[in-house]
Amino acid sequence: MAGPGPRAPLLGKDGGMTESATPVIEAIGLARHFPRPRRSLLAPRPAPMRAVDGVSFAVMPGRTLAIVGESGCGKSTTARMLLLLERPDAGQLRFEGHDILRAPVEEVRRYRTAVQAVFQDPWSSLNPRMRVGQIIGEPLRLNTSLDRGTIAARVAAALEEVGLDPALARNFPHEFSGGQRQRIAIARALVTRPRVIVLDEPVSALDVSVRLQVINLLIDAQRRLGMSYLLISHDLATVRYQADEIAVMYRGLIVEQGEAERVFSAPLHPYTQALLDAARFVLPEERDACEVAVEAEEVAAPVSGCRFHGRCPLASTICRNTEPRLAKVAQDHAVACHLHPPQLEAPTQEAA
Amino acid sequence: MKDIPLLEVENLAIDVLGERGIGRAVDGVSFTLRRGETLGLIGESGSGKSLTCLSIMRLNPHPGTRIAGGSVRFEGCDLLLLEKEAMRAYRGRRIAMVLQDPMTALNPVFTVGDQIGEALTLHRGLRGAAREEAALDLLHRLRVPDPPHALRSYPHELSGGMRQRVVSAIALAGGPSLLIADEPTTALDVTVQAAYLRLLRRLQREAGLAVLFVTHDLGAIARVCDRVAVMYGGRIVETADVATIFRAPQHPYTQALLRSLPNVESRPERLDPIPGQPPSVFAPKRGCPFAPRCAEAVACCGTEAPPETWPAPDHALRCWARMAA
Repeated sequence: MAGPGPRAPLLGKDGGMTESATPVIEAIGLARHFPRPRRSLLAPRPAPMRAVDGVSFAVMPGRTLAIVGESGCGKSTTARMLLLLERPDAGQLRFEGHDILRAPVEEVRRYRTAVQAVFQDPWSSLNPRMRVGQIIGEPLRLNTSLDRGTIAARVAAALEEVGLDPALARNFPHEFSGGQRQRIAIARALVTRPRVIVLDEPVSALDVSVRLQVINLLIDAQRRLGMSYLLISHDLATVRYQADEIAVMYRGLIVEQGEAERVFSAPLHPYTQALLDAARFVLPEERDACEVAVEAEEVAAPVSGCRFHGRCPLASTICRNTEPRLAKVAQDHAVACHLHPPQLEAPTQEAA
Repeated sequence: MKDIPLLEVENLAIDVLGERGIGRAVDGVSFTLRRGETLGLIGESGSGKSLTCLSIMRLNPHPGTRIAGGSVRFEGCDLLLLEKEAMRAYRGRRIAMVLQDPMTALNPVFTVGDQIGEALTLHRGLRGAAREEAALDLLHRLRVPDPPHALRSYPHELSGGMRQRVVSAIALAGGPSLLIADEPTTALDVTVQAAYLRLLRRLQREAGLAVLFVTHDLGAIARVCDRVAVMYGGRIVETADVATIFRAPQHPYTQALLRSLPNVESRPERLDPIPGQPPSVFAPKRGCPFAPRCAEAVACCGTEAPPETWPAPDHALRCWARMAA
């Protein structure tokens, strides 16, 4: 949503927040660990790569939650778990109160219809052998029992919703430009009238002058149809334009989470601060003065303590020894950093 | 020193030969680059910016593209007229290049030391201990932590930012006076991007290097460039110093591009996108390439290419609407 609207406090249960509305999707301690190969036959199996190491968040009705972070932080794996493309190793994924990971097939099918996706690259996410109409109609054909005429009408309506001529349903994807293809991908996501759309870097493959068209299209569709977005992005400027809530991930964990404007205007975690500083528009005359507080380069993953301590300019002994927990510092703001101890009541711990 | 520009590109025209016929991807591009200066060439995909810089090195794909006219004078010598062998003396030694993806630019089966060493042998004839010393010195200049260790590493053992520094070290091995950087930060994470851009600026100062910085990222331009040339549809529509481009741009495309850019430091109410699509390379070239999307287009915009005008001494512009004003 562009422009300020009413904002509800929105953290997962791990953050210990009291919700004012029921989330559409709630992730509780989601984790995904990838096994690493042995270096040789006799070598012991190395510890698994903890791509996502227990993240909790809530997607609220009609709102946009953005997950930001750099490559390898686990944001895309999180999105894939939400889409059931990746099986979580731990945690719960609640949809309207039911844990969808342990739900019967019928409920999972309903979930798949209710949660749609738009991927980054519209060149690889649309089947080149299918006509646009078939592509957009496929979710309806697979998940509903609608007849062909109804599906065709819904496809035409979806094309109009994304600003394309319904007559283009007979064309093939290669006849469209990047921006138009992404509109087709959005139409396919909209056609089932989902509750949530997962947007995985929806504009980063597009031309700069076309990006804003697609972002505004997404914002308008959300206002009209009221679904929620889970936005995965590394472009913080776009996130600020679009998001209501934000979760910053670093090495598989959420390090800061809260109402977007609050986090953007007063970031607390040194990593969030570094990210925002790097994304800042530096005017030519101030560029030589701008100092870098955080070492940009990767250091080996620390074995103990805060995962960021190797790059953190403010790290102290406790940071090297004890891993900070995500705890709220205000009603709609939580951070995992020893510099910012919890301000309100102690977080209520979910039983593992 | 400033008498003769390091690089003068004049009226460069490049054709793309495709199934749909011949398209003029670069259509009369002219710019100059002075010694020790960083010129940003900004444009969207298909605007012809990458093809322009590949052609400076005479590395434009062949067949598939051909240089249809113009000149590229490097220190007064037209590179487009050189024999193949003579051109090789320029590549890497006088003009070096850094490309977008540091993973594909490096050979995965050789160590970093081998690859930097190869460039040092080729361009400076160094061998043995002298070569190793020069390689260490290069990595040191690029602020690679623990250079001796990096030298023995394979590309996959390094992070994206470190790989891009190694690629840059190879580019600087021949001691070039011009570095062409084509989207060097696009594949990198934001914090790594910022660090690389800062490093590039420092290198450019230390070595008096001229840099042609090609990107679609306005934020990167603001961090490193002295002057900026804005490309659209195969033409340069506006050239000015970096402050003017960001403070007082004149061309409607530059203005619309800046207006449509979300800012991380404040939440805007609603931004207006530029309507329409960038033109296809194969679209017939009549008038100003931006005219179909331009809110201020006047009658002649669609029919006749606007001539270059100079609103200020170092500010070039091609726009009919601004000429009328």
